[in-house]
Amino acid sequence: MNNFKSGSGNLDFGAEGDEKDTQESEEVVEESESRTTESPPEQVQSSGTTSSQNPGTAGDPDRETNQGSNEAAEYPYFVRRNNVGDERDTRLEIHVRDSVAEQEGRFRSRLADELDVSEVSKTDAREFALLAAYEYPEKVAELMEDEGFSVI
Amino acid sequence: MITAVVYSESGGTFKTTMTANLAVALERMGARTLVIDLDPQEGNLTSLFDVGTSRSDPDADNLVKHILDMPDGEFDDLIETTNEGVDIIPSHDMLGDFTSNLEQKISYETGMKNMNRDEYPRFELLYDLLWNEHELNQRYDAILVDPNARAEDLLYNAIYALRTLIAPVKPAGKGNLSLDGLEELVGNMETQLDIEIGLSCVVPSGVGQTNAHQQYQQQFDDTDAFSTPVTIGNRESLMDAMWEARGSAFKVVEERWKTFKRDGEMVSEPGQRRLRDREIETLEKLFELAHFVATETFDADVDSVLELEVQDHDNRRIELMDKEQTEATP
Repeated sequence: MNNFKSGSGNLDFGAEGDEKDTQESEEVVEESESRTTESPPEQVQSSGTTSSQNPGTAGDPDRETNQGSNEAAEYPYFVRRNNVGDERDTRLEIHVRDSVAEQEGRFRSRLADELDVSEVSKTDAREFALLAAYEYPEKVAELMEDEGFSVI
Repeated sequence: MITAVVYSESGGTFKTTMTANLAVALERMGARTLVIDLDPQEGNLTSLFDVGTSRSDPDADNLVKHILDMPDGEFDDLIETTNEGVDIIPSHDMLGDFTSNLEQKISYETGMKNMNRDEYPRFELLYDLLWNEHELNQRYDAILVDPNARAEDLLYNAIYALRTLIAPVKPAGKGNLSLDGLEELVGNMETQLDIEIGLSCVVPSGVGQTNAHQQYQQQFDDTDAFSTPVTIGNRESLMDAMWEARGSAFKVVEERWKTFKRDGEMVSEPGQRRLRDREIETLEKLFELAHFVATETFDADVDSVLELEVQDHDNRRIELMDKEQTEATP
């Protein structure tokens, strides 16, 4: 980060005598003392600024790969993934009653509300619903018993 | 004079909501604020604030015609005022053709004057328009630009004219915060145009509650290459509602805008949003950010009290601490 000056750039109107950046740059103070109201801060030699020589072109192709991949593993799933299919290599098919399927929309919108987002994808909602069940088997058992599981 | 380009390498509506919130925060601090929308894409600041009715009319006078010094009307007629008090020069479709229009102008003028194309000051046009021709520094305390995302003539004109950047960044699933692209662009501009470009601050935004995000924040806090005065949490619903409220996050909370499903259709209405502490906290952060830019970066004199008038709730008053008294300058 050598190119930046931390703070403001050198746009300087010199108006009202307010010397911005006093604690940061003495050169800027010198400039503002010239008190020019509208002239550019300095004469600009803009040779070599055609579109074919746009600043900010070209990128270092190695830049992306510089970061170690094991570093990424430290981050939680939602941070490290790029899209909803990432790392989800196992496909689970489930068969449910209509009444259960119909509840999914309401579940997702309540979930979205909890997360303070406008929508939660089906895949995310389902995977984490399953995880929640894994964490609370007693709750799952209760629901099953409500529907007469222990009777058989 | 506060002048800043809100630049985000990823582009998108994200920098747009940030620009709108900063502008409204500055206005609420008593700074006369103008935003310039240089982004011709859908979902820009112009549509957020619901201005610029003639943005698609090719015959209408617009900023590009003024930048290229062939206006079809008064410059002041370009300026509209949003209902939150911020002035705006809206976007226009012609911004999308800026470079080709500029090339034509350069061909014509360099031909007339028998000068070398390379000598044409192609990045200095906005600077001349704002400061030399119209002396906007006399009329405004703060000017923000929401630039087009692509690194080309318009963006360079914006940076050349304003000189200072605010960089919202969204943590992605990678290790380090990367401002490499921005730094390269700035470095090249500084050398070629002999200017000094400042970075007011980097604003980590969309930051969640997870440990990983906390680590990011730690990383931001640890760096001394640039300032990170605040971190803005993941407030998707709040920021999304700005498009319905046609205004800032302050407006969303105060008028309590919410989008919800009614009779199978999505509707957006004021007076429906639950007042959430975390959203109030986000408004406070946005205000603090604007205050940092105004006072720390530009040494401007602004109010440090935010008054919120939330519909059907008691008014809230948030007073920012005076940083200079409580800590040494960074």
